[in-house]
Amino acid sequence: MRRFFELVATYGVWVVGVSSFLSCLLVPIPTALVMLAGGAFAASGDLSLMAVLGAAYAGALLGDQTGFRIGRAFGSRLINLAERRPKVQDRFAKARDMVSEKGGPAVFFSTWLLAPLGPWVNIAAGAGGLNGVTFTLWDAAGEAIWVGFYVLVGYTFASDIQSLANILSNAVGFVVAGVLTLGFGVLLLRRWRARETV
Amino acid sequence: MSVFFKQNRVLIFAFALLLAGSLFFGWNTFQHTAHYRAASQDSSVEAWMTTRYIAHTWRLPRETMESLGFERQSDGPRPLSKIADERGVPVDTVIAEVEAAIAAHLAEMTQ
Repeated sequence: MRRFFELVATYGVWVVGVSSFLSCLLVPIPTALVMLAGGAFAASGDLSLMAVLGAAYAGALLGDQTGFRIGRAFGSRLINLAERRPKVQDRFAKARDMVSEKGGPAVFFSTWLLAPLGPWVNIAAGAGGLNGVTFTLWDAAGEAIWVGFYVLVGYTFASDIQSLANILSNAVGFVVAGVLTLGFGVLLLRRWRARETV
Repeated sequence: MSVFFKQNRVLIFAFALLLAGSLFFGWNTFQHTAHYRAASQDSSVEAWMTTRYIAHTWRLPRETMESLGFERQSDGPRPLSKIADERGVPVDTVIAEVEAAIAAHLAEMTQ
């Protein structure tokens, strides 16, 4: 944690932008903490608040677009493979339909509420053939919440970022693990019920 | 039951793991929230902090930091670790200096 604070203190907004970009591409950087620090150093007068917000937002949007495009390029190869097998092709078509229909909101929530899942969702959205404009709009809205929240919390509670970083990183883990637990729980329950009726 | 377990082994394992993760992170969140402390209450200056950040956190007047011989920053942030590097001294020396200045300022305030 301190190492990342120190990086921001030394190299400024560039660290914020680059880390935001890379963390959208599965590079394990705690960008939330970097944004907190960026906000805090804006409050102390070391950095410009607008520059921190801008760098984090630009990095996030670029990173997400890159992931989406990688997914799209990779996805078309998968489809080519799938088309050779009728059974797989059928499942694939279903998955693609689901992404096209419900992909937007999934992208939205994966940018902020379930941020650790974001990079995966971007790739899946690209591979699943989500419309580029739909992706961009949902993504831009979600990232505004993600970036705005952390930078402004850092700005407002600058003196407390060490404590806040501990609380927030654990809270994110709790929400992500909690949502996945619920999802798996529902799936298990359905299977259990299906078994009983047999 | 056992047939169901065998058929869904992976799913059940993942569910149990995620449940454990939820409890772990939930408990940690609670713990950290319960022991919440502002840096200024902790009174521990650290290497990553910039001189402006320290002034902001402990509400120090500009003169306090200037009296330490930190030149007024023209542009960009400077953490204590960088200042220590520039001076060629261990960062703990700089931290001790800053802590003494803060203590002196606080003593002055309470008088």
